[in-house]
Amino acid sequence: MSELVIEGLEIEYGRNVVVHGLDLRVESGEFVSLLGPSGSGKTSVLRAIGGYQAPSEGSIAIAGRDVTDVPPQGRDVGMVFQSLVLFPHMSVLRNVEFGLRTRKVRQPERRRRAMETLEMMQIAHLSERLPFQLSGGQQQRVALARALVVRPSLLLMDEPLGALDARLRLQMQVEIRALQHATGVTTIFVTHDQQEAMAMSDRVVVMRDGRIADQGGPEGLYREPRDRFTAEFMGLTSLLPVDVVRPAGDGARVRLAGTAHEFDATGSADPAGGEPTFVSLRPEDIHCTTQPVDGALTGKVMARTFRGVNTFVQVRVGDQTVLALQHRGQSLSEGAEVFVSWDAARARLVAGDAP
Amino acid sequence: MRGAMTSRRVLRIGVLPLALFYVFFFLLPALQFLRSSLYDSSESTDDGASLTNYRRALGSESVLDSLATTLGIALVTAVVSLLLAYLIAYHVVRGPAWLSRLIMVAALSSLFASAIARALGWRVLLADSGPLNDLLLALGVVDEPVRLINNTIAVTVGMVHVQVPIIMLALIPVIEAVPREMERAAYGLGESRWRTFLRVHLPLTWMNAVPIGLIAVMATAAYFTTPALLGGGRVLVLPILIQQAAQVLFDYATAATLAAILSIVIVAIACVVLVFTRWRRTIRERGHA
Repeated sequence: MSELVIEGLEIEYGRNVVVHGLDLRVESGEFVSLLGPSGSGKTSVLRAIGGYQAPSEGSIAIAGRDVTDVPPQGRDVGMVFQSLVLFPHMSVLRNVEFGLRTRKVRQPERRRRAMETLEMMQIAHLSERLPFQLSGGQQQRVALARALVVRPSLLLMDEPLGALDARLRLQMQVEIRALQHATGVTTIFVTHDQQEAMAMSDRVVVMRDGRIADQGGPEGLYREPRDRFTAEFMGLTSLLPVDVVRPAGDGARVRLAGTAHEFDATGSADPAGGEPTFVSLRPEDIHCTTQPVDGALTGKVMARTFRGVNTFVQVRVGDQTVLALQHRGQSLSEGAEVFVSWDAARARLVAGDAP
Repeated sequence: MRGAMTSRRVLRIGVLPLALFYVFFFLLPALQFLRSSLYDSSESTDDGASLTNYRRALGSESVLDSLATTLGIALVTAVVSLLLAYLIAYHVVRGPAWLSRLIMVAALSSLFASAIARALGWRVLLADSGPLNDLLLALGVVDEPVRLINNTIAVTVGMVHVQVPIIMLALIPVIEAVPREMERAAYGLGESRWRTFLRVHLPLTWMNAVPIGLIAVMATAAYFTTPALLGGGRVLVLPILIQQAAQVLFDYATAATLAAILSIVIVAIACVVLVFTRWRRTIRERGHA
């Protein structure tokens, strides 16, 4: 059953329309990320689901019940805000008990359930502390516990990890995902960080200018983006301008613009609206070798960036620059002449103007 | 850096004329006036400073009655005004733009009206044959006009009217200091608006409202016009006694004594309240996320 059904959602601030006729279904137990740059409308959609933003058109149904006109109090939704907003004058325990109190859960049941949730988050020993006595990660857990303790049908999270440092962020990503698996709560997670969205979600919904640009599983979106925007937003990529020679199979034969070099690519060969077409290549799919390879382009290493876990090289090919991952055991130095090749299956045809 | 130094120096020099003006035209005359409270007015022989005037004043039942009336009106006014102003300021901060604009215009225009005009307005409204009594009679709540004027209630109503707009303006930043998402979090957890106000907003902000309430207490206790006009000579607050002593009886020593007593009592109340509420703990210090 769909836990959340959004149909034709429109949101305006004054005369400014920020969400245009959005449709979205989220299945029970699913973890869905709304991913997009700032101003893409992702937070507005989340606020509308929580009941904090009245839509100008469209409907929202949670667990089969139309809640379009229901205030936040009646929606059975747990929300974790970007700024967490723990109640500063209440202990951790009282913060977590807050939603149980409003639901008229009496003591000792109330305390038992709150402590149970705190134990699940491994912060039971902090129950008597005030929020300001907690570290960022601990506050994060309290905010989650406060939202989850009432067992909402839907958990909404608005960039909750934004304030954490990189290391803690990774750890919390893993923890939140594990917790979501354990509780099975349907979750909608708003973020502008594509790595975070890919690492945590069952499904990523990419938003742009108040519309859904693309959606799918993290790998599908990364490997087979629908258009140039998604290709660039879902991670590092090199875009090579091409002309379509002829459709071939489920892809096309293309020619690198300004050259006679032809190769195969996957994806739609027939972009709408005559937008410029490109081949998108992920850095790990580009092979740079010092030995000649059949059908390879020749290039020159312009720059080398060591990142610890891997090393990137920028290679000049004709009048284009591609970004490639240096493969294991390789050592490409700046200025080296290399042969650049890729698997045809990994060359993805995308269309679109520069964002 | 150098610019900051220069502007600080300019500021320091610029403050000087004001400070001198304050010392010569307020502080010195005030001290001179208060000094006269230490010299006995009834004896012609000058035998040095003593607390005779204070002993006499504090032994007088009418002075103690007056002190109690003054403080009573001031406290009730401050509490009622704080509650009303809190609700109004909340709507200015959180309500729709048209409502907050309307309230601001109403509050500011009432501040521009003179205290005398406002008090006389209440005299008309509260008169025996005034609109309020007409309404009560028409509704059958009472059979004959109720005495609404020339008593403590009338003075308190008038004082609340004076204080509410001022307190409301002072409370706006206090309420704005609570992030909107704090309320949203409470709504999302199923709490009603009214109970969110009681359980989240009030506990977070009341400490910052305490000094504002104290200002209302002090300003009310020192107010002369409203008690004089709405009390009809029956509500003898200390400022009225001081005025009578100074301008009717020309007894400056007594006037000074009463003024000193009023000041000391108010300062003492302020100290006690501030110490007990530790109002300096701001929301941020209390660990606002």
